[in-house]
Amino acid sequence: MDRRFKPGDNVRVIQRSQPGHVRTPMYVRGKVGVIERVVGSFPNPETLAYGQSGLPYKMLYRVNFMQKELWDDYEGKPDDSLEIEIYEHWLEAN
Amino acid sequence: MRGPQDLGGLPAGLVDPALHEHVPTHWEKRIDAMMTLLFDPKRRLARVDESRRMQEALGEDYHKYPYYERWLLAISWLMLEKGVYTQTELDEKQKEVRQRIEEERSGS
Repeated sequence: MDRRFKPGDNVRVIQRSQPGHVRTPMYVRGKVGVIERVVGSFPNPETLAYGQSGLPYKMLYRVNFMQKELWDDYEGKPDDSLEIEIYEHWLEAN
Repeated sequence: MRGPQDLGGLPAGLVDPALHEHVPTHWEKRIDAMMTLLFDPKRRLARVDESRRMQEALGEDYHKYPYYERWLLAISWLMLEKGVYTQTELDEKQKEVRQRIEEERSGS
């Protein structure tokens, strides 16, 4: 399956309001991170949740965000980061 | 559009894990077993993603229910949605079970 991103790529999580079974939490939407790894391709939970097949498969990535990018008032170490898995259709090149 | 499960970044106090320790009860294990049977590849009457959708549809009520009660509600709503049984059949069965329990109680 084609991969739009590779480890090290800068990506932005799409800032979008979408009803339904969305697995992209609010706190990462619109934020910039770095692809840490390609996790693999999986059935799409957004359609699986409605009893559909989940096809076509969606590529899933582990994305690394700096904590200070995520939280304006972050008081921890400046190099603290957070990793979260995001599907490709929620990411755009940055 | 924020579902009740999407808590990241919302104001909250410290979480003390010790306060949330829990030994599963018998009815909770039964719900778990029931779910495993309904969701297994052989039957596949529903999927975990569908259960999550139903649980999150509770909205503000999501946090009022204990974990396994949410699972039970989700399973039941999914079976109704898929026509595995009807609301009337469910109501009748509940009535029957309630009656049986009451009889057992008064008989003992």
